[in-house]
Amino acid sequence: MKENILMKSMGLVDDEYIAEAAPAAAKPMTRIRRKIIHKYISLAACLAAVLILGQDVLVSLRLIPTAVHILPQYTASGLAALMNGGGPMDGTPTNAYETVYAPTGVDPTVSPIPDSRFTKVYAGTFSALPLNKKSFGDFTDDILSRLAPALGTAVPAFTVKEDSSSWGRSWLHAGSAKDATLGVEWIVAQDAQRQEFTFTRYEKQPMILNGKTVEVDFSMTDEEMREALVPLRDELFGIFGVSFKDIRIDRTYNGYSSFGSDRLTVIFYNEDEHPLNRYSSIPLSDHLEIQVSISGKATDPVSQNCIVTYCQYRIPAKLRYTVSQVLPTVSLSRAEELLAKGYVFGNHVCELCMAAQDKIDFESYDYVGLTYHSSNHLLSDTVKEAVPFYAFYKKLEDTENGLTRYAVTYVPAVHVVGYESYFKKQKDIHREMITTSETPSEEP
Amino acid sequence: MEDNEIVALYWERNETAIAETEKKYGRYCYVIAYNVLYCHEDAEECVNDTYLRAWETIPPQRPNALNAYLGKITRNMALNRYEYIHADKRDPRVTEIYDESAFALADRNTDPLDEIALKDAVNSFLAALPAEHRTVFIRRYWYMSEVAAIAKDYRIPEGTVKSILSRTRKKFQKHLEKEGIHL
Repeated sequence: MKENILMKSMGLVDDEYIAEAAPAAAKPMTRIRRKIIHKYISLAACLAAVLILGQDVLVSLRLIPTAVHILPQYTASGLAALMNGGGPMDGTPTNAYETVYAPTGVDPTVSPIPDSRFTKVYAGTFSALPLNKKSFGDFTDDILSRLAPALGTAVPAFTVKEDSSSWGRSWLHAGSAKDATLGVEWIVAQDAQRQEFTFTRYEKQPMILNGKTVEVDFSMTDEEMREALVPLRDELFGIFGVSFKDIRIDRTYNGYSSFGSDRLTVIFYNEDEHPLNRYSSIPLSDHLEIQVSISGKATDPVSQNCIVTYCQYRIPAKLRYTVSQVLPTVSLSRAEELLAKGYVFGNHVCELCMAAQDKIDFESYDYVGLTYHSSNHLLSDTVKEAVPFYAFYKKLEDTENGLTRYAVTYVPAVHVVGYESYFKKQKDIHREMITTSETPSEEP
Repeated sequence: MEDNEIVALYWERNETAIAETEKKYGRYCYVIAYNVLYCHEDAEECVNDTYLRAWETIPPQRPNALNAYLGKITRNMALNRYEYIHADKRDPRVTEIYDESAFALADRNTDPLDEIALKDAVNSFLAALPAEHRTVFIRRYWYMSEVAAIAKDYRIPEGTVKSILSRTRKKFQKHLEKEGIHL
C-alpha cells in the first residue's frame, strides 16, 4: 500500500514551525476586520434567505420538485426503546402521554421550536475518569467546613469508602444517615462522571442554615417562589462556593398528595453551559437542586422531606454531549398529522398508568414546543443519545390549590420509519393491559 | 491567559481549562479543521473532540507550545474524519493537495526508525529554508490552506505562492534522497 510521504512528514513537523505559520484567520480579529466580516455575513444571510424562500415558492408552485435528501435514521420501536431507557427493541410500549403542572394562569414551561430546517441529535460519550480520592476528600472537606458552621454544629469527621454498584462500576462515598455532629443526613459520592453532595431533612424536622429555613412553600406561584428563595439561594451558593444565574421550577404529580403537586424541584444552573440544558429536565452541567416531597393532607402545609443536592460534573457538559448528527427537521404540520393518527410517545412506561389513561384529544392542543429525550444508545452502554421531539400540551383541569394540569405527548422531530407497524402492535398491547387490569382479582 | 496557566488548569482538572482553551484557540483549531473538512458542523465537532482529547491527555502531557499541541490534535482528527466521510469519494479540493505532492509515494509499512529519520529530515529541511518559504510551505501542507488564501495573507501573487511551493517540493524531494530516505 502506498502513502504520501509529504503528507506524512507534515505530521512530524516541530511545534515551532506550526506556530510560526499559523494562518492570519486564526488570530484574534481586529475591529475593522470584524466589521468587514459582519458586512459580508449580513449580505450572505440576505442571499441565503432569498434562496431558501425562493425555493419554497418554487416548490409550492410545483415548478421544482421537493428535494429528497432525507434518509430516516430511526424506527418507531427504536425511539420507544430510547424512551424506556434504551430497553429492548422489540416494540416495547410507551404511555400515551404524561402529566405536568403549572400554576393556574401561568403558561407551562415550553421550550421554543428553533426556526431551522435542520435539527441536531446529540450523543453523549461516557468516557470514564478514574476515581480520585484526593479531589473527593477536598470536595467533601471544603463543603463540610462551610455547611457545619451554617447549621451551628462542629465539622464532622468522615471516612472515604469505595464500593462497586450492582452494575459493577466503582464509586467513592462518605456520609451518614443520622450524623450526631451535623444533625442532618448527608452523603457525598463520586463516580466516573461526577461528584455530588446531598444533605437531607427528614420527618419534618426543621433545617436552618444561618437563620434561613431550608424549605420551599409549594403553594406559591413560580414568580413568588423565585423572589422568596433569594436569601436561601444565596446562603446555599455560599456553602457550595458556586453561583448560578438561571432557575427552573418543576412540579410533578403522581396522585399521592392532595396538593395537586407531590414533588417540587427547584434547580439553579447556567442554561448557556450546554445547548441541551434548555430542553432537558435535569441540566447536563453543574447545578444545585432543592427538592421537596409532599405527601401530607391539605391541612398540613409542611413538606414531608427536603433534599439539597449540589452536582458537580468531573467532565464538562460540552465534552460529554456533542452533536452527532444534523438531520432535516420534521415540519410542525407533518408532526400534527402524526399526532392526529395517534403516532405519539408518552415518555415512560407504566402498565398501571397506561391502562388508566383517559383518551385525550390532542388535535386541539394548547401549546407546542421542542424537547429532547435521551437514553443509552441502542447499540452501546457507554453512549447516550438525545433525540428531539415536538411536545404537545393539552390543558386538562385546574386543581384546588391553584395549579393547572396538562397532558404532554411527544412526536419525533426527526424522520422515522415503521410508525404503522409499531403502533398497530401498540394498540394490541394497550388493549391487553387494560383487559388485564380490569379483570377482577380472585382473592377476596 | 498564558499557555502555561491554561495547562496548569488542565493539571488541576479544572474545567475552566476548556473555556480558556476555547477562548484563546477555538478559532485557530476551527480554521485547521475547516481547511480539511470544509463543513461548519464537522469542523465544530472536530474542535470539540480536540478539547476532549486535550482534557484526556493533559495530564500526563504538559505541552510547551499549546497552540501546536492543539493544532496537531485537530489536524489528525480532521484528517481521520475526512477519511471516514470520504472513504469512497474524494473531495477535489483536498485531492489537489495530495496530487501536488504525488512525487512522494512510498510503502506504508514503515519502520519506526524510518519515522524518526523522517522527522529529523523534515525538520532540518524546514530549518534551512528562508522563513517566508517555510511558512508558505507549512501553510499549504500542514494547515491545508488554499493557495489564494496564502497569497492574500502574505500579500504575494498566487503565481509566486505556486512557484515557491513547486520549488520547495523539489528541494524537499532532493533533501530526502540525500538523507537516505528512499521514496
